[in-house]
Amino acid sequence: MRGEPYVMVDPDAETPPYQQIFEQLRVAIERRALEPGDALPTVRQLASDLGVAPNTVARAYADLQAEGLIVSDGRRGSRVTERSHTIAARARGQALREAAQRFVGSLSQRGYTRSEIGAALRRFIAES
Amino acid sequence: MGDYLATLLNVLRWFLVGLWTVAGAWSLCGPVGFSWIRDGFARVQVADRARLDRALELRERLEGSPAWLGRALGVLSLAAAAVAASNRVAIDLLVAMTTLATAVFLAAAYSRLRQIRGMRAASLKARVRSAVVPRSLFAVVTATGLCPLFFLSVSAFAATVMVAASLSIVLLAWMIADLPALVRGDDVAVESFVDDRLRHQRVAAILQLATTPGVFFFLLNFESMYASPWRLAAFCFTSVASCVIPFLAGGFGPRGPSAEELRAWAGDAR
Repeated sequence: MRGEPYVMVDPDAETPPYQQIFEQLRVAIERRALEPGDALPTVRQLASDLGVAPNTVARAYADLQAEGLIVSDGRRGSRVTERSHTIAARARGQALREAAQRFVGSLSQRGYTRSEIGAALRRFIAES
Repeated sequence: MGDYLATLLNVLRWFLVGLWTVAGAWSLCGPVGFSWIRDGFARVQVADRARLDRALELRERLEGSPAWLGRALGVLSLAAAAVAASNRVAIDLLVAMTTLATAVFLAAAYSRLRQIRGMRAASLKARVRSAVVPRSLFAVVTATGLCPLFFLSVSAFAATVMVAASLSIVLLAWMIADLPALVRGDDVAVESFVDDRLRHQRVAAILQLATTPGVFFFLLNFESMYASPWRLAAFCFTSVASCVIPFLAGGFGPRGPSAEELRAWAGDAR
């Protein structure tokens, strides 16, 4: 863990603020900066800290809840769910698989074989 | 007994004249705006002083320099000293009125802090008021704010103003404990450190402000205080609370970063 987790919102970014909050919260859970059972700031508190509308934070929280990463309990606020890490790990694996498919697919279209791609990747990882 | 009481009241009155004069002169001629906060943080021992100084500079820019608030408070203190010296207003009422004026100034300062915009970063850990100052301390200070009610039959108007002023100050401390974090995101870990310490420092100081005038109010009603055990108990309770608040609140000075905060400083140098 790298200390207290934070969320930052760039109002000038193309990604809408609710999406930025959603993504950063998801990454914080994936990286275990937020542990299962950790209490999140209330919608009102996070919205006032970030200077965004409460609906923006509420939407991000609703999306995280829909993914099963957090659970909202009315006045008691929102908490990271016990199974959040399993869900996050699955989502992380899925994201990696999709990125790899896109990468390999684009190189295959340009005529590279799978063994060439694999060898280049291993070399790149070893050198970097 | 009458002469003795008159002398005691006179001593107290001149003590307050001196106190208000010194406070007024300090507010008008002393360090302005943010410099006293910067001085407080000068005692904090950190390896990377430059980062802390940058965070303090940023905080100063965000809050602005509320010099006019200090000046206005100085003028008010000097005016209170002059009125007390002239002995034309009941001194307990004057204490109650200056406490009320203090509450108004604090409300103005709170309003300024509440209107600061442009923050882009926030902690993902839930922030609770009791982490700033324990709830029990708020309860104790609220109880001391109600104590002048025992003097309603002695000095109804002054006691009412005193209660209203003290409770308003406690309410403002409660609201300041829950102010949005002022973290712009240039150096999140250090800005959060400054925000936490300033919040704690301010709330503790304001709770002290809510209690101390009550002690003077009771002393100025010395004669009637000894006529009732409740009033005497109220005085003792308020006096003890006023003395122990700095210790219960964890001290007024900004403490250095904790081990966890230092890890955050090292890991997050944005």
